[in-house]
Amino acid sequence: MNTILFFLPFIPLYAFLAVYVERKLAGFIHDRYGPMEVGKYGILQTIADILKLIQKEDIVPNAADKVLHKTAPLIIFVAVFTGFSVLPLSSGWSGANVNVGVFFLMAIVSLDVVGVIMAGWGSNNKYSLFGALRAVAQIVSYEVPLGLVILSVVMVCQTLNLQEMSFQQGAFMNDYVGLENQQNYLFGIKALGVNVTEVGGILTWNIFRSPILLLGFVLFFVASLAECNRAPFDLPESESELVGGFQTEYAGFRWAVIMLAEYGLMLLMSLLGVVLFLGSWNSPLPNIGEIKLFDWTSGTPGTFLGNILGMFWLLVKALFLVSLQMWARWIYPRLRVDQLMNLGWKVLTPLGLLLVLISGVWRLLMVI
Amino acid sequence: MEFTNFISYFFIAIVVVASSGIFLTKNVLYAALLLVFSMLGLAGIYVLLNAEFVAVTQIMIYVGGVLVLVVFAIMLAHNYSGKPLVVENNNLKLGLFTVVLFVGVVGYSISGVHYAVQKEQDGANSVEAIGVQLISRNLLSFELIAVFLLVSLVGAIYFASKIRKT
Amino acid sequence: MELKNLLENQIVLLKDFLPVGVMALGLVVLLMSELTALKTRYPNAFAWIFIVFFSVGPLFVEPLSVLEAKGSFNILLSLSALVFGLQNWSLTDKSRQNSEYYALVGSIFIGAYVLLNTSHFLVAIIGLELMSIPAYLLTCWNTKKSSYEAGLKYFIYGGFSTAVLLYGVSWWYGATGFLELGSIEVLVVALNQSSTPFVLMTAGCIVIGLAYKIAAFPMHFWSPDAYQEAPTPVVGLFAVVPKIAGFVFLEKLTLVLMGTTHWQSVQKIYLLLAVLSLLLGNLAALKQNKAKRMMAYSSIAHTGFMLFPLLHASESNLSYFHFYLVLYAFMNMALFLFLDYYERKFDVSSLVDFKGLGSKSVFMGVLLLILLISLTGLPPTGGFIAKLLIFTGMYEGLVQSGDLIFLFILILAGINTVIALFYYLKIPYFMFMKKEAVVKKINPKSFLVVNFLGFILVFLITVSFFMPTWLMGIINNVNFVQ
Repeated sequence: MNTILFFLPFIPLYAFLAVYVERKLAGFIHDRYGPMEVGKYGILQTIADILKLIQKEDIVPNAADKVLHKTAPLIIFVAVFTGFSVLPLSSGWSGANVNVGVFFLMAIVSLDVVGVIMAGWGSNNKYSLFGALRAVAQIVSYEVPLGLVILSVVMVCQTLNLQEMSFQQGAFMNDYVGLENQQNYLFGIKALGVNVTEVGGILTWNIFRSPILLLGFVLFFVASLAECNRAPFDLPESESELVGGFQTEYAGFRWAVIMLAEYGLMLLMSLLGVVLFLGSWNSPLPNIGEIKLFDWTSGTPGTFLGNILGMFWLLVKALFLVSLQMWARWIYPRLRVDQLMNLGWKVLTPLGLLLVLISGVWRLLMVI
Repeated sequence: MEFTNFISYFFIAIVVVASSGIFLTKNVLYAALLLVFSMLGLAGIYVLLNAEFVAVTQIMIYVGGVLVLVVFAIMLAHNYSGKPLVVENNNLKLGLFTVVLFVGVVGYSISGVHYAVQKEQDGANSVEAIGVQLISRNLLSFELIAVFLLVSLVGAIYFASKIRKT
Repeated sequence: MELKNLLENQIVLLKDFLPVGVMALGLVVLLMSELTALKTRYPNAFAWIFIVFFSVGPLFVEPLSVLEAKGSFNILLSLSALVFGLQNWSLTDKSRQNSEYYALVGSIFIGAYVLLNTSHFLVAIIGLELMSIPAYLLTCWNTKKSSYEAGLKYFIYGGFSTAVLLYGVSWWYGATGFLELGSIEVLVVALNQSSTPFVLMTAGCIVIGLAYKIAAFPMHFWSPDAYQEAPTPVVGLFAVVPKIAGFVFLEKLTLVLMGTTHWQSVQKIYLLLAVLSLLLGNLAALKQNKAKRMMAYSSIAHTGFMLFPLLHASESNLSYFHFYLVLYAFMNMALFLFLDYYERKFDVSSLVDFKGLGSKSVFMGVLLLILLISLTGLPPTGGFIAKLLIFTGMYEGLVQSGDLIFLFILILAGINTVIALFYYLKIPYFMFMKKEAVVKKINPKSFLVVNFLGFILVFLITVSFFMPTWLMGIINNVNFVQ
């Protein structure tokens, strides 16, 4: 059964909660309460918002390019959702078995910006167009460091398949067909001679298997913020100058779909970050001697309990990253366009190239 | 009809329709966006040919490429007013004649092809095999492309900076 | 581990990558030295770096095992790099003291080296592109509106012809299952199984794609504009380096096609290209009044001439072909050296500007006269021998195959030599026969290096008239194909 069947209902639910959490978080950071009126602690606020949005008239500006304007939210939504299809959920519940998994995900997600530019152009509004142009410049630039970071992970893991990557980052590695004889060593240095294959937990996560990937994770997080158009990189929709950026002219349900896709993309990027760096669906607790914390907290692969616990760990980590993204939004000011480009091309890209080089060396340490 | 056949005809139809749209539409922006669909269809055909990696690369590269194209189409036209960027179809008759001639000649020619039968190698399309090929047999091509990209970058940057100065 | 073995093999193979490696290193050194104070201290440093890396690079003629066929036009390539470097050495023009300028030219050399030495379509296409992209940029180097137009024209034709080439190559791969041109017998067997129209289309696409690099008839439109607008030393390269590389690759392709049963039909493509290039080049050159533009058309006509031997690619004919190619390279290197000299010293661009310059610098004038006579193909110059050899080859073709095509070519080529006389001799006519109308600006700078180089090249061209066997011996001693 494909994981998309899980994600399809999960994402509206998650978006519903995420919007609420983001507001509350913003409130706490600003030292205020956030929504309090609808329901206890304002918990039903999002539902009220959704009801309002659905009732609203679907306004298409008279001078807009109707075809582009109407199809754009669809393309954005579909592009983001297709990305979920390759993500694994647990040891027994892998995504579509695509050998080029992570590469496919990157390609499909980059389709998202086609929708953005369609929306921006089709709205016939200069704010929308500026927003869309910024989005293109931003996403095309930040795909470079993102790609380099993912490449370095792929070099360490020697696979593009996300499920295989997941298995590598835990004590169940030898259960995966094709990985039976692989061993994990502490910090990925075989010469140290500390075999942690059966220990699992945080010690086998990619950021520990090859500690240089810790830097990679930071790069990935920054680049993923830019890919999701989240603050401090939310230039395509910067409210203070562009009204709403490419989504200025959208109202009602279409706007809701765009927002849903945006939150979906945040989750997708966070899930990808977890799978690539933070041990995927593996429990963070290691087996210490007789205290088999890892085994106790992950169940047996393939069983019902195993699936449930895998999903639990995966989603907990991913949602933690999502809240980090939200946090970043409220504590950092927005970058200027030139600062954004400088950061992308002069900092992240060189670091990414360095990372690829070091990861190659580290991979050699892992086998020699 | 077999299911895979049906799927492949579906993708071929996407490619044909989208590609025809590119030259039938007068709106430059539509043409650029239709190119994306055409490329997606092609990617689908590659997947059916077991060339997943090529398919994904196709999407990856062409989406970025088309986006830049769209941005140029918008910026070069100096038209931020939202009016469609329109090109006229000139030389319609001559164009049709050329198309018919081209299709006729190429169609007639390729009807006489005798394909060389290639033994399908196991896993020849896998990412690993491609990677190994790239750093062994095709290492030279690989490195040359690096030189090629370097030179293109240098040239582009030189001209960009020169134009800005003047 | 399998991968490890592969890598170890690569390290052994690395020495075969030496020429490309040296040249690529040169590219990096050039670009890096822009960052240092080298440029302000020694304005000619880039030219020296260029000469060191790019005239030495191609001489590591260790055959690239990946590229299979060895070639020794590499020496010509290295010579061309030397001439180019020295020609730019004395420049004070700011725009040509950039490392980018030399880096782009260097890329042309890398591409040409690769194309010369490969018999693999994939590598060849990369080589072609390595030559093309810098060529587009160099055409725009003067950043005038007209140079952008020329560059754009060049670019669009380039893109189109690469597409055509790729289309042809993909059908070729489908029909033969090989991208290498190395094993001729296998390819011939495979191609014979397909129908003639198919092979005609495939070969046609590939030949037309290559025709763009050698500036043959249907793909020649870019060349007059590009020659007119690009910096003159670079034009000297455009006329020599890509053309030689393209022709050598075309020759490898021809050797395969020749063996097939379809050759009678495929031959017609070559014939059409050759005849039309020759006619169009010569007739259009008659009408020109700009020197570089005229030479562009002359170069197209020469392309037509050089395609003739490929129609009947016997062993002797191929060596005639190589002889012509080498002489053509010498002549064009020298020609653009002279044009550059006149352009910079006397500010000459159109033919009328040559008025009375013969008396200003007799030595260079006489050398240019000899060169132009050689380009026309009259004795006592190497150009005559080269043309004579082509005629001989065609006569052989007529006798051996009894095909009347060759008779037709003989007559046509004869007529065209006469036509060529008219426009080549326009320059000496203006130089020596006309009196100077207005006083021209004279650049007082010393052109010692250029004079010397020009002398050497013209000397070589003249020597090859009196001792053609000597040059022929060199050419035949080194094995061109395989």
